[in-house]
Amino acid sequence: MELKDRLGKEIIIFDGAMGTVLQQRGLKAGDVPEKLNIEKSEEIVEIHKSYLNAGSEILTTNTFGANALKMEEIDYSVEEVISAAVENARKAVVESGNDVAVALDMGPLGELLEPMGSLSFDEAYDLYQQQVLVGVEYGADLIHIETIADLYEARAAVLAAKENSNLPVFCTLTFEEDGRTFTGGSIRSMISVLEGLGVDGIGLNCSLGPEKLEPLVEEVLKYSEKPVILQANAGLPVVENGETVFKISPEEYFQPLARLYEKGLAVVGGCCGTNEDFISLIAENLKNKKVREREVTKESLVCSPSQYVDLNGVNIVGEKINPTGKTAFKEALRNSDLDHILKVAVEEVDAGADILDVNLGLPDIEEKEMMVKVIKELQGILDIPLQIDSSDPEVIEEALRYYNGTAIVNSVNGEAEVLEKTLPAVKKYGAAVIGLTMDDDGIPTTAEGRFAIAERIVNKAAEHGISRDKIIIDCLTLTASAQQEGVRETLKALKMVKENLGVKTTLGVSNVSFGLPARPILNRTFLSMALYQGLNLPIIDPSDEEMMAAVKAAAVLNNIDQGAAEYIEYMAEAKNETESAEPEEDQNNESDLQTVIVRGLKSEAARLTKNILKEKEALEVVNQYLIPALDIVGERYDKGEIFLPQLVQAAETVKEAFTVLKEEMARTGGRDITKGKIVIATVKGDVHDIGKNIVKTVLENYGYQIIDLGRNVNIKEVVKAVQENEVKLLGLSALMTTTVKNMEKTINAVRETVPECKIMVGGAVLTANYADMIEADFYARDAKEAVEIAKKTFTE
Amino acid sequence: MDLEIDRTEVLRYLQTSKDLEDDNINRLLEEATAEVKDLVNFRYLYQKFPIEMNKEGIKVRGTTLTLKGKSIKKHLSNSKEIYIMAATLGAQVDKKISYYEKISVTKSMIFDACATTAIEDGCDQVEAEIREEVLAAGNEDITFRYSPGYGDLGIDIQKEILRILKAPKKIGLTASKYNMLLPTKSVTAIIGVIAEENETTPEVEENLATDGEAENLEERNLEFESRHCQNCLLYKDCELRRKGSYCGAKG
Repeated sequence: MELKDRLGKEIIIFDGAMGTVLQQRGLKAGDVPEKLNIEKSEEIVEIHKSYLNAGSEILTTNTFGANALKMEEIDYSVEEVISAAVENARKAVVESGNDVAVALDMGPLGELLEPMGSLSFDEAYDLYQQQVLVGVEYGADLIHIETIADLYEARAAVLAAKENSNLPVFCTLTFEEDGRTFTGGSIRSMISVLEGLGVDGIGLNCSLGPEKLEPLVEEVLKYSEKPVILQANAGLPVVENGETVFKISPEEYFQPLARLYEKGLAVVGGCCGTNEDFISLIAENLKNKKVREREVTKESLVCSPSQYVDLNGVNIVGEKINPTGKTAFKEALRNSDLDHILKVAVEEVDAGADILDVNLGLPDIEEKEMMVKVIKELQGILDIPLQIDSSDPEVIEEALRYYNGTAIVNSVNGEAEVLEKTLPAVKKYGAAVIGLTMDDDGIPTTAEGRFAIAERIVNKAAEHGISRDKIIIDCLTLTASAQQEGVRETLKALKMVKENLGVKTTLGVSNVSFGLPARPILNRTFLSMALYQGLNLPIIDPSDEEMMAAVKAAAVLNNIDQGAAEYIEYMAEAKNETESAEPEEDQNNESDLQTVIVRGLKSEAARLTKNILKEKEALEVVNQYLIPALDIVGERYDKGEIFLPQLVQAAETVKEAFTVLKEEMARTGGRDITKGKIVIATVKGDVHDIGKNIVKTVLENYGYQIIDLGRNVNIKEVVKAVQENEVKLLGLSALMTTTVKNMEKTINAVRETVPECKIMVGGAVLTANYADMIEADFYARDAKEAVEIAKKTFTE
Repeated sequence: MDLEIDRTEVLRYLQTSKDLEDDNINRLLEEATAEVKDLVNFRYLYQKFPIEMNKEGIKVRGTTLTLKGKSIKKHLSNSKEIYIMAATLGAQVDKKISYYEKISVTKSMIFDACATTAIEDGCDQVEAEIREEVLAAGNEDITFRYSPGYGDLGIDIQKEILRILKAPKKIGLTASKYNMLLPTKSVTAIIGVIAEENETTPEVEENLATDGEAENLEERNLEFESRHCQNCLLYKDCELRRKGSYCGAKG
């Protein structure tokens, strides 16, 4: 029987360790085991054969690190190593006469991916793709992705495997005892994401012995529908006489495996420290045995790597990342000012949102590019799952590719064309999807009409292989002032789809009250009614405390929040917050803005600025209050009376004042108060950018508009930003001696295209001499000097 | 292992005075200290190797590694064995620093300094563990921990060091293409075993005082500088050293 037919039905036995066996045979610590495929192929074949004799039914090629990044360090190419490795395994199979499968082994790339590291998702994908293509060409039967600690990397590897081969794909991650990967990934998120991508087997390997991994594997068995794999280490290694040894015996190793077999384990083998004795004991006991049936707990998860939300409950979707009707948000989008968007997101999370809707639809921006950028930035700092909100199927597909986790797509509707264009991507990336009950003919007036569309969406999704637990129906909130009878129809339809289609439901709530007085009470009442009908995902402004409280209260009354536990906790926290609100340090109204700035009292700055604005113009506030205060702060800093954290604190206080002023300017259309634009970036390769952020904050204070490109920025991106914004000054930061080279390259590239732009540089390893050497115009020792440089550049 | 975050150390990384009086900053510092302690997932590894000098440098036996350069040669001049260590606070700390950079740069600076203090304390504890092992084996002492990037020991050996210890697999510690350790709050270091004490004279001390850098002598720790700073590439330009408050290695 073919492997694919046996998988999940009969136990399949993997091989054991390769790396630790090679080390026992004399491979030096730090050496690259993959080169032995070529230099000592006989030995590799011999190890493979030992596993075949022990009873392995899958051989893994000796290609754990055979990616182009690691192969740079040896004299062989990826193709040479992988082709030799597959041939070695094949040779062992042929010579031993057993018909077993050869799995192309792919381990982690050895570098951290963005946002934690500097390797991009696309670069990771390309590296895996190269391995897959060679593996397929030389006849691997299966692709085995293993020892991955970062779910994003697992996604890149699985996508590379699925998009470039028709082979079965296994993927196992490595977890610590607490059920987290090194990057914080959880087991449930792993299951959600890998099942969503359609892997054929899922599980755990490496890190610990089988006994320690047992509870974690049990969790996978409980929640995953896929065949479950375990390749544990031979316990924890101990160092004896300078040698690393694994101490547990094959018998001890097997005991937990026997228990897990009874619970439904389907594929089993060994990792570090195991050898043919371990495999042979497994084979003696389990070979050809039927996989035990198990009960899988059905969930509807959406997730980030570390956080998941079960859509079966009631969860709040934050609606505020959306430019509609928000001048400041639109302005931020046009200026690529991601900080503004991130701040909105953080506020929503702090207010208690469970999922964030991300809508960046604005006619005059590149929505696709911006969506990917914002998703990456949001995931760089937050763990909350996201809902991708766009009407453009291309934007949705691109967003799903780069989103790390299982997302919700908002949305499709009953139009055949929309469904055809969007559902394939939803399926491919394992996302959940919102279906609006409308089509080419608009929104049906009756509940029955909307139910019919919902049914059509569910059926169409089924044709694409999307199950009902991934479908969320939006019966569409109508406005009571315009279509009063329609409100009840929405609520009726909601109950119908929930009960008869077995899908989840969502509604945007606040539309209902448009055009009527005292909107909050209408919103709240409608929300409570909808929750009673079975609403799962209210899309609301989570900073609206009354609405949040209504959700929590309804969960109690609808018998969802058992024992009112969540309600009680929420109310206790809400009470705490009002009591412990940041102490107003200075209640004295006479304290003027200058003092507030010098002392860094952020919360006071906005209020005072607003007061002063009643009598003065924005520019006057800048010149009479902000600049003099900054001068005092700067002077005290220069004299060593205050220190860098205080300087930055004062700068951030001024920023609060500036925010008020900018809003005022936008409102009144007054004279622009910005003194000029500066692009700043931390160069390619550097992922640490506190220094750059300090400089940015201080420069903003002196009235400069900063276009912050972030960290690890490609040369092209810098050149593009300088060109498009026609800036006179560019600031570059580098932290490492190794990345100063990229700084030099960036400078050269900017010089070639925009020779008139001045460039200042700074960062931990730079000195004035160094700055000269790489031909920067200025060296900024600190933020204060950057300001002097800016002043000089913009007055010239 | 519980990590200590000493307030004075944090203030030193922030380059403020030891007795900073600023209520806001002090409050943020307390918050950050608690948060860092809560978020760290401190993991470390070390292993002992015999070494031998050859014309290329110091060969670490049983591995592929050869340590090159004058500074490490001097550092290990009394050693026949070394420990290679690696330690990290884990990825969550980095994520939180990025988070605060978006919310408050002031807080992120302070948080970053607390994290640096924590990793240094972790390394001190690992070093103490190694010292204990070394003394128990009848040796005299160990050298201080010497990291790639100190003196003329290049950071291009980071990946090899991590590979030798299997650090990516075992503690999730990696190096980027540019040899930056990631997660960022991480350390690799080499510690020499000193079988017998062999007093080397701190000849630099007098030089320091006479080479035109004699400013601020009462604040500076010349003995420390002779041990730690003199081989540093940034020795001449170092503002911290002039102020008598030192970077990475403890003052």
